[in-house]
Amino acid sequence: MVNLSAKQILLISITAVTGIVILSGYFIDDPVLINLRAIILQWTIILAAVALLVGVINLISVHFSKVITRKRSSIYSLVILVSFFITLIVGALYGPTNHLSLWIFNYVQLPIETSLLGITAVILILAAIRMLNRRPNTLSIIFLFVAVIIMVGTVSIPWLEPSLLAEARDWILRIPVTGGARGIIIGIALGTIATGLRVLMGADRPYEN
Amino acid sequence: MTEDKQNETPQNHKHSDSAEPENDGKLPWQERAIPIEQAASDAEQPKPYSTKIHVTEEQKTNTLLLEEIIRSEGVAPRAPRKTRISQISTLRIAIALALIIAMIWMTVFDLPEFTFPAVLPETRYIHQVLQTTPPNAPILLSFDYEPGFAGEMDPGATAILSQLLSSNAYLMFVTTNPIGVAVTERVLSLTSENISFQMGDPTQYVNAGYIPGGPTGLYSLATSIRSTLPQSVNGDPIWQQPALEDVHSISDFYSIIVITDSPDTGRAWIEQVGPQLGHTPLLIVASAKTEPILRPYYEAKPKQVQGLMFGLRGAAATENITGISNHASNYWNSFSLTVIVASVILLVGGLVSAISAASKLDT
Repeated sequence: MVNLSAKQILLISITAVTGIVILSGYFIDDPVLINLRAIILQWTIILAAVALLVGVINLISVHFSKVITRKRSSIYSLVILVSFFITLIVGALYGPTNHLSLWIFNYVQLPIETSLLGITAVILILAAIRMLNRRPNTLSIIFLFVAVIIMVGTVSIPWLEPSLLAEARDWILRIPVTGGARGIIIGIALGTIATGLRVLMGADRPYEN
Repeated sequence: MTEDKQNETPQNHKHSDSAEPENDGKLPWQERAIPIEQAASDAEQPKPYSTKIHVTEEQKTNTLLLEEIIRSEGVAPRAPRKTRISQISTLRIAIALALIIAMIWMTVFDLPEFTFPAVLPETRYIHQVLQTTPPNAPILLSFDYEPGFAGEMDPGATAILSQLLSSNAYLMFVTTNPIGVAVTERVLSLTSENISFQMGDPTQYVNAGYIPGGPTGLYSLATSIRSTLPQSVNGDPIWQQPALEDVHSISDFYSIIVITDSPDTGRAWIEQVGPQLGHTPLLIVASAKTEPILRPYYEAKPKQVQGLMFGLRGAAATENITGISNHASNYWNSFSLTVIVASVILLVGGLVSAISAASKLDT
């Protein structure tokens, strides 16, 4: 028998009732239940938005303390703080769809993120090449050949039979890949059900952490 | 000194005892003492001992070895001298250069010309739905991709948006990504380069903004759309627009189109919103990397997602059948040549790596 405090019993009860109300909404078409579910969902959305805000405040406080204590690499924290406050002021004064906000998005955020992904492409090619040096086995060779078939099958080479590689690519994606992915999705679903049941029954209490 | 002691006989003792010690001037025990002069002359020098140790050659070698080991403990090993650019860095730069040259080559010379990809049935279905969209039909569009994926996602998004604006459908934009509002405005701006429409015109579209909460937010959208989205990003009321007056649930939209780079976001839309849609088709325009995860939902019977379009390939195929030449058509040749160059690098590099690994194993 597990000894639970009054606080724990209260928390488990709130969680279980909320979960059962949301779950029953899938099975019972009752207006009271539907309204109750809608209210709970609205609360969840508001809390999620507040959590985002808390995350931003936490990020800023961490970088602010780094700048104040002049820790190593605090210059980067200073850059983050300055960028944050400029973006915040522009967004708060003119709105997210104003041309100034969009200028920051188009000429700062977008090029930086795109460049990082461009570098990732080069790094991935290099990693695939080095994989055969580090781990020269059958699976690595299969991995490399499948990657090449998928890549070349995506485009149509003018001097090659166009359908051959494209058909190989489509077969790989439709049969082995779909089969494997379906197994992963079913695994995720079963894991989610198990976790949900454990939370509903109070066996898992993530809100206590 | 030992001999003197042995020479001391009992007669000597007798003689000394009979003599008068007062006359002689010596005490009786002094006669038995060894004279200092004699002791000094009899003293021998200590034998010299050599300080040299006689060691064998093997011991010498071992000693030297030990000395060397002990000496090396106190000395920091010298770091291998770094060359300015290592081998890996050179290879990295070479790969990047090869890809950049391929892109520049196609931009300048535009040769060879690559044929457009064939349209897959799942992509053709999207085109059919968009073609049959009546004027003022409400369409819900979600821009759920990160700005970093703009190169891949923008062509597909503009291809879809061009068709919708051409058919005069009424568009409602949402997003589950905090930066999605800016992405939406960017895609609208890109589309306006080819299709004429008034940016920000509330009679053509409304931007309802960000839906927080991930899958929970989507479930709320699916079950009670009006309370989840009360107003637009500019603070204007959404549901007073004539085209949206009859929309009371998510199934009242003519179609739902999700544009995403994330397999998880795609899954959330299919799993949370899909069951509430009834006959309204759910169409997903996604990054090529999401294909393995999202395809099973399309291959399922009944289909959980009715139309799919993946990456630049899908966008180029759509532009090809619609006849609206836009970003995907412009990028297609460069993209194709770069992919082929990347594949050749992978094959050649992989082969060299495998041979190098095999030779290492042999040695």
